[in-house]
Amino acid sequence: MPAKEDMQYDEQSQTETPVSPFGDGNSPSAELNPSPTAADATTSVSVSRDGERGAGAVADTGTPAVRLQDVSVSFRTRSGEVTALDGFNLTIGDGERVAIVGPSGCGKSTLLSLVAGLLPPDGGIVDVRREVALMPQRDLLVPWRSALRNAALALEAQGKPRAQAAERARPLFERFGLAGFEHARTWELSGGMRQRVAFLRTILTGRPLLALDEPFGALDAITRGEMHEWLEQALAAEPRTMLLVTHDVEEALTLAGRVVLMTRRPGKVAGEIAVDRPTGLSRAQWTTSREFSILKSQALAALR
Amino acid sequence: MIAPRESLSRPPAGRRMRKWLAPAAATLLLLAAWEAFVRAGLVDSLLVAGPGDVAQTLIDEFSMLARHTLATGREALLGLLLAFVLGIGAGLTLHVSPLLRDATLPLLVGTQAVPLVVLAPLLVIAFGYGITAKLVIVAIACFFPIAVGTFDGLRSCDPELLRLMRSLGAGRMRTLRLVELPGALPRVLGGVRIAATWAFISAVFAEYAGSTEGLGYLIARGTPLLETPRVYAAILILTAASLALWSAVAVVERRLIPWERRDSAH
Repeated sequence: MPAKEDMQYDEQSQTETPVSPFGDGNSPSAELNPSPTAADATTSVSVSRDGERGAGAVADTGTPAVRLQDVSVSFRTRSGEVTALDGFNLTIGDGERVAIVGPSGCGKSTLLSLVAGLLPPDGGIVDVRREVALMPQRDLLVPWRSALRNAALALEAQGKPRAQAAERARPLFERFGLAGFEHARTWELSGGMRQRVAFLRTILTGRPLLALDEPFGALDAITRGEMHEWLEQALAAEPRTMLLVTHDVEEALTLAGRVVLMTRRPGKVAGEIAVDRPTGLSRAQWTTSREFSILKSQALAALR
Repeated sequence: MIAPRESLSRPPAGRRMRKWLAPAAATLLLLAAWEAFVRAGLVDSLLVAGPGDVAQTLIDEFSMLARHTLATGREALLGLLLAFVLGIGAGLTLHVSPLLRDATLPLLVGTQAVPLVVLAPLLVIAFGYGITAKLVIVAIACFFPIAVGTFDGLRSCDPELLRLMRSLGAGRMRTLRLVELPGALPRVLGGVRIAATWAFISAVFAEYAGSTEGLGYLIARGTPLLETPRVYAAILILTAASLALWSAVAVVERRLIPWERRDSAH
């Protein structure tokens, strides 16, 4: 394991890097660099803060939104030390939609915590150049707030006054199929509705990078399918860079432009699939297409 | 076939009637037996008063009883209010500062370990026969469940929700205000409900230790004088007042935390 001094953790806000947060739409602009050289790793301390933040780096469209290089994380548990991630590499370009798929315990949630800045790595570089909006696995709606004010919590947490936050949330309810549910109590909402509110809360942070942690894992298959369609429309209206963590291969192939497959603990990249979904294809058409099933079997084979 | 919602959410009218009627009938029967027992001359009416005597006293001495009830009510409610403020303050302090928690927790538990029976007369000596001593005694008795409820409630916040708030950029105070405090409300109110049952009892207790008015004063003075109907009437009023206070807290709970009732109903 690298010494603590090598640890580099760096998160920079959107305002510090004047690049369009949404990049150039759906086409991935960043190259994946899966194997960093030893030289990269040793110079990690000097690279990230000063080196890449200059004007030259910003002008380069290849500047990734997220760069994880040789990252390792381990936890001390009662039964000894568990390595959650080991030598993990991932680069996400601006506007890219990346899904991480792997079995339970492959360090997916750890990965999101790293990107969201909630956990420092034990080794390697975590370079996140966009502000991150985290959507946790559970909706975490609070029962003392109405649906609208639950979404508005994202803004109130940032210090916006209560009324102003609710006014900012209101138009989103209309745009994303929640009109009429503004005053609904959380226990009156179905599972899918709750996730929509949680997603709007995530969107309302105004942050360009969405980190979604198995957002639809608790829903039944039919509702999940509906949510996939809904999310696609939502992202078409509000384009964001997305990092989606899931154990559902179909979900990944439906929502992401690139799917990264992970091995079981310690988490490493087992393979990667570029999803070239033809434009104009509906979700139903895409998930029943031949290309889709080929990609799916590839993914499942790599995960095995 | 889907059953109508009505029948799922509440019991049928007959069952609801029985819920009220059965205990009412049982109480009436008990009172009738008691009255018969006293009228039959099986006990000295000077030593045990019958329900009829008690009712007569309630009517005849209404204004006097009302004055003492108000005195006790004032002590109980103001003491409870004091306990509420102190309890919430203590719960918050314990939650926010680990140092203060370690420093003061033994003291707080200590206030509960010292028996109030022996403490009350000492407090009356210290604070006099006025309302101050009563408020202190009621507050000591009532503050603990509220403090524990607040502390537990604040601590019970979902760690994932705290993590979310952190990722949303909320600081310590904002997280406390937006998430931890409202989330603690059910347990705070649970503590208040327990405290409410103590409020009248401890006020009477304080009056026992030394007072010039109040239901406790009436009972303490009336018992050796064999004013049994008056003492019984005072006890009846006390019980009713305690129940009323409990119900008031329950109504506030239903109003403020409707989601809790749903959870427990499932």
